[in-house]
Amino acid sequence: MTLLDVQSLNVHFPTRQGAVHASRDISFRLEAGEVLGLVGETGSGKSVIGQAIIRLLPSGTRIAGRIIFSGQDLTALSESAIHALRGSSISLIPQNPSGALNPVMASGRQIAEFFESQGRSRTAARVRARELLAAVGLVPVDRIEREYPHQLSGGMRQRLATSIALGGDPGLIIADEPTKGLDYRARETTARLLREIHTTGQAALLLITHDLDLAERICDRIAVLYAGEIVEIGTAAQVFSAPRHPYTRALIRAIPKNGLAPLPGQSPSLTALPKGCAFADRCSCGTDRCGLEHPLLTQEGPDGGVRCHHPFSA
Amino acid sequence: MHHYLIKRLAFLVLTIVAASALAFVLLHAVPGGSAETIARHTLVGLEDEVSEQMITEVSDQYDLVDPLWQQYLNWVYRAVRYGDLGTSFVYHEPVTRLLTLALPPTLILAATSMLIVIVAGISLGIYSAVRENRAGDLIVRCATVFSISFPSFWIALMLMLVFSLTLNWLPVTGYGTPAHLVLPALALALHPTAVVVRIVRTSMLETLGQPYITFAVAKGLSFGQIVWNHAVKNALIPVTTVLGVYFGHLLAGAVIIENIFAWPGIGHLLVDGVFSHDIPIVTSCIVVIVTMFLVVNLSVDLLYRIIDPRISYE
Amino acid sequence: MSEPLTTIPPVWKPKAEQTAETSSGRWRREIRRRPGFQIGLVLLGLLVAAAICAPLIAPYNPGTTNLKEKNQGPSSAHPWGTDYLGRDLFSRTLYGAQTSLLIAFMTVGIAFAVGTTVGCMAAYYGGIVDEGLSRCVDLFLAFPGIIFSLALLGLIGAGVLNMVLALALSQWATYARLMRGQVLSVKNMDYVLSARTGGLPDRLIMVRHLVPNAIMPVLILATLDIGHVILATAGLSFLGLGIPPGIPEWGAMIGAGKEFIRMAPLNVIVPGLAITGVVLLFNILGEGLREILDTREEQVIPL
Repeated sequence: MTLLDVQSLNVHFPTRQGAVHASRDISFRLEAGEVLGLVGETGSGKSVIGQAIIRLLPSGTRIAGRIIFSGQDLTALSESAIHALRGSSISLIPQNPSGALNPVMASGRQIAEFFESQGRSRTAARVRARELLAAVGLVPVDRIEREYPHQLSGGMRQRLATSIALGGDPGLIIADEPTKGLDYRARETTARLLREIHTTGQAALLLITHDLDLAERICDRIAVLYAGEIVEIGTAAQVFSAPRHPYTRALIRAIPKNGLAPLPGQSPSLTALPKGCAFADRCSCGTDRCGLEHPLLTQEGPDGGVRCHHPFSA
Repeated sequence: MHHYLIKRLAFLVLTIVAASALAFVLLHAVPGGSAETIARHTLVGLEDEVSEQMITEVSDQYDLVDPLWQQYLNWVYRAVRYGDLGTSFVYHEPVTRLLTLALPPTLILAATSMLIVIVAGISLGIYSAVRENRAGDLIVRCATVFSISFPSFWIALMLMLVFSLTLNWLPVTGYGTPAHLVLPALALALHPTAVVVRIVRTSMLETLGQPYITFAVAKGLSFGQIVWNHAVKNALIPVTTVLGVYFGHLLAGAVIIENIFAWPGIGHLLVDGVFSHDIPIVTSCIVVIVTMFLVVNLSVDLLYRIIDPRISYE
Repeated sequence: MSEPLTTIPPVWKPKAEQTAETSSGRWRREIRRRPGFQIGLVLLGLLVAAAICAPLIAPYNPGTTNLKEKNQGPSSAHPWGTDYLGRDLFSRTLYGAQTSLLIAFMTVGIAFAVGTTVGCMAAYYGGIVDEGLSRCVDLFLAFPGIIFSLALLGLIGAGVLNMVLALALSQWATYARLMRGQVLSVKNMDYVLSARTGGLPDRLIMVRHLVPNAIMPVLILATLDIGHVILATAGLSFLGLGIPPGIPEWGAMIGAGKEFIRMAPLNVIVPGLAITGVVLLFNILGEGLREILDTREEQVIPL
């Protein structure tokens, strides 16, 4: 059953220098229990998609297109209706847990207050909070619940933030760069934790990351973003073993284990996008056509596609 | 903690000693502090000639013969040993006695005003930030801009004109009943309240932009939880440090306000002393005001360390 | 659930890089974007002009008494009424602007000069020099507000220059502390280090490199401080300190007029409004200046 169906989502921010087209014509589907990775470089517009779904973008942001979640269009909902979904139906694992946790509130309270907002008593909320802390491996619970975020390690903070996202048993979890800024050990713990969510629960996970290694390990399907567009989408196995878009191929080559080959050049400015293919400047196999004609995302199989005039063969 | 406290207390005493030395020396060194002026003020009329004998008499009586540094050391010695701050030139009474009489009224006035500053300043500041750019915020901001531009003594006279002289609701001047306290406390509180409103508003807005607020929204917490549990505490922690400074401004402002309302406090005593060149009174009042200011600032610093869990004592 | 959170406050970040644009161009653009600030500048110009030209504009001599016409309300002869000695309130208020502005500019000028010099030296030389100067600054900051000026002024007696000196004495330390912090933050920048290794004399390093890069926040403080000093001057002269009799000054006018507040409130209201208006003007200009110089202006886009 399709849990989330994003249809031609466009997000742009009006600024003094002109509109910034952060996401253009984004379409994808996410089934219940599935893990979809949105991967791309910083600035590719991947985080914006997650924030558009849970509507955390700054006021003034223009959103067009439809975001169908469990049969209702989120873009048409009022602020209070969408706020009712936050935490309980759709939750967020934040980017940078150090900033996302309140520095002057004890860890236990940060989880418990969520349950209180759901109408539980203070005592019941605390009991649930302690269960969750134990579930994500933050032990001893007695000590951790009284500690403040600055007393926890980076990995522990991410686990705390993750436990809050799991608290409401949501249908959809959006993990926004969960490993950004973490050291190797903390990244490993986070990856394990995300895989556990995936194997034990029924929640669908939208994993937004620039960490291809992480994406390969836990995603069922992958969408690759470049300059605000999906350039390739497919199963994780297909995308990693036989990438079809030149950009995907370059990204995979840039992973440390594949030789760390850097991709020269820069992605285009989101205020002044080229007429043709956004990747044309940096592409090794581009032709004149690429500079003139904007490629469309092809439909291949039920949920596959590539946005390229000259894709590599499958 | 103990180490820190001892260090701070030692520094406090040192500052008070240095400040009293500065005040003592400067006030005794200026032309108006000479035995001749004092004789003119205490023994004869301002226009009359002062004889050599009078000067010697005054110098002997008030210990003005020794070099300044020795006068100061004598003064400190007597203050510490006997609690004797000298004798008023005009009232011929121990300064300590006059100060004990004047201290309670000043403390009552300053404490009441500070209470108004804290309660009104913080609540209006929070309100203004939460309603950013809406009508309520604009009204509060407009009012604060005017309030920081009004001279407090003029506001005091205007309040007196309206509430005492025209409406006859409150007594004009004097001391003793709560009704006497209303106008002086309001007039004194207006300027610092406006400053605190602005500081709280700025701090709240900065806090509301923090990622932990966005995460609190993503958790689906109620509006009240977001503002009270997350924004307010974080926003107020930095505000506490400036409250001490504004208590100092309040003490300085009290000097003028006490004179308008004939409030028998330190400020009244100080201004009377200044006009009659009663140097022991002037010096002692200044030392008392400086001590109050420094003690309040130290308390605020300690409070800051208690309410902010991120600060630990080395 | 209570009221939903409908707006998410904007997120701000420091400007990523300084544009190559010249600073005067930036100034012009920023000022053009702020009509309130422009009006403020025009009003400031008018105020200063009016104060300087007071003898030409004022319909009466501010000191001429006319007991037959004392405590009068507004009339065509005296648009703002007359005071308790029958002096024209409009003329006196106009001349009062001279006194207030003169004292405020001189006080802030002296406090600024002394404070920035001390602050710059403390930060640049560091060590024992810094320790000594900073303790001295701390000491002066221990006296709240104008308390010290008040005591001193009472003893040294009235006089415009005395007033300025007494006020500057209680203001300079704030400038010194701010300047010290500013210089410390630019002191270890590469261009300063290279100037030092290049053997440029200390004096030139300070004048050419440290001061220009550290001074802006101190200038904003000075603008906002003019309002404070006008209020402080008025407060002291209201008590009867500092301003010699015969010189029209707003605080002194209120102080003398307060005895007649019930029957002739204009004695108090007119100079009070003048103080409020002028302080308001400087506060608005100071705020505008702060906004213009505030680098946190570009909205960040959450990519």
